[in-house]
Amino acid sequence: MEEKVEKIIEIERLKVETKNKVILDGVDLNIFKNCVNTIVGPSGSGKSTLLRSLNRLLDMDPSMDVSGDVLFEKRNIVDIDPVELRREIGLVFQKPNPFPMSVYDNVAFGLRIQGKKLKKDEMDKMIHQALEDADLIEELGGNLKQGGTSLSGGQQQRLCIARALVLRPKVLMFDEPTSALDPIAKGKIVDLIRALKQKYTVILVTHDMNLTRKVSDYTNLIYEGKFVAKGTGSEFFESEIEEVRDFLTEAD
Amino acid sequence: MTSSYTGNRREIQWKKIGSRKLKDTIAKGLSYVVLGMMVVILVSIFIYILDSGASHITLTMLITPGNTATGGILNAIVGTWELVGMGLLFSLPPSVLGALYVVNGRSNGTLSLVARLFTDVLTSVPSIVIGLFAFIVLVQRLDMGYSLIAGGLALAVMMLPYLMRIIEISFRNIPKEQIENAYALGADDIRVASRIYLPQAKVGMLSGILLAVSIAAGETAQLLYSAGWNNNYATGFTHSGVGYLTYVVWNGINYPTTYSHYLAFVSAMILILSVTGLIAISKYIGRRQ
Ligand SMILES: Nc1ncnc2c1ncn2[C@@H]1O[C@H](COP(=O)(O)OP(=O)(O)O)[C@@H](O)[C@H]1O
Ligand SMILES: [Mg+2]
Repeated sequence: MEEKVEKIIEIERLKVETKNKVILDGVDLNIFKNCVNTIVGPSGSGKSTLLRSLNRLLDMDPSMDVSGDVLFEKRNIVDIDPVELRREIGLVFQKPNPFPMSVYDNVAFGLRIQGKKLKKDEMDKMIHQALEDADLIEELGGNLKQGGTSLSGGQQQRLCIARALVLRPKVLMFDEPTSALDPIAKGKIVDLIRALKQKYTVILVTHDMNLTRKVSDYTNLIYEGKFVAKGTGSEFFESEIEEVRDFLTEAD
Repeated sequence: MTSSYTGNRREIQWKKIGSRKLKDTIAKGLSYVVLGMMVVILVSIFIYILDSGASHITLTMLITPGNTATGGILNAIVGTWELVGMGLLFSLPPSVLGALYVVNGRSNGTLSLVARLFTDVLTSVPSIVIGLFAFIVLVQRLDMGYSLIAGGLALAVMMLPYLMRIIEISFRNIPKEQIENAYALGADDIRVASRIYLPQAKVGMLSGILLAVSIAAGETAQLLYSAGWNNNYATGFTHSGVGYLTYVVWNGINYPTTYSHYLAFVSAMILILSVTGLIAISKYIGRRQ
């Protein structure tokens, strides 16, 4: 399987540590293009830290010491302007957190800060498209002036997805996107992630084994900052690796 | 957590710490007495000044300049706001930048700590010392003379720590996730400051500004050495003294005529009303947020 599918991100010997703790301990992992790459693992195993290192959000935290290489489309991410990189690799956080502004302005945020002058109708079109791709436009009934924070939790999460989608990233990372949502809202995100992989590469961090079963192409298990299972499809659930068996028992 | 469980726990605690509860009540009672005394004293000062001011106020006082013994106090009213405005102009930008740095800085914390220490020290420098410093450096060394700039800078030094602290607090109230989200969407530091920090901290900043302005308006000591005084309006930013209300209060009372006392009381009344007004507005805005 690996030979046929293109790698979009290659992580090599990635090590992230603070003064007192090794958080990621020499991670080697490939992220495959136009696939759902799922990362599962117990809480505190370093999943969020891994996502943050991929878009260099970790650079903001001076207490984090990062070494090793991450190649994004064969370029080392340290050679890419972080602002540029973050537009290419979008991140949707665990807790939905729209900015306290209208739905429209939320989605427009990423476009406006680029400093490029977009024509009004061009901007409108992109925002509509993003909201449609995030499966939100219908529920809003065309009212994009309403406050982003007044939406329901599930809608807020999809608004955050639209906000990332409007930038047309190549990779979209989700950090436990369903953990704060009710079952119906969860279901919508599942459908959405499935649809998104047609156009985007998805990296999905989750605790939710149901979600993993439904959407994952490659499932990777991280355990105390190291991957103990990598690049497996549905055979992940039949794995004989001890940590995987333990994790699956715990998760169910 | 059911209500019956909470009820039981409360009962147990009540038995255990009955005597502590009694001490608590006494301490609370005492502090109410002290608070009551302070309120009475404050209110009587307030009423006394308002009464003495209101009973001697005339229109001429409010619309003509004067020298604290004759004429009016318009030069002092105008000068007060000019000085405070100048102080704000000098203190607001560094306060905002400093607060951004402390809250959002990438340093390992030592520089933030130094900034904090610096502002704490500033708060505790007596205003007369700030005034003297302004006199030596600005008025004499840099040869500005008594002036708006010198007075404004002297006020700014005092306003800066208050402003920075309040602005810092309103920055910290913004959810951290929002800041991270903005960065994750490709915003740089300047965009995050201008599109997230500043708009969201607007209200907190405004109430901080009002508070700093009200504190500055009531200052005398550093202005004596920096703004000097002017029997008329200031004619420029340097080499022209500025009048201000606290000077009228201080000088008018020392001057042995009844009219100069009236001027002092009216000035004090205007000051008290503006300051309490500003503080009330700032509290109101702060609460509404
Ligand atoms: N900013 C930080 N400073 C210090 N330690 C951190 C920081 N962020 C995360 N950690 C530590 O790194 C480990 C992994 O955290 P995280 O990546 O959030 O795990 P996960 O997302 O898998 O639950 C945890 O032990 C956590 O305490
Ligand atoms: Mg996490």
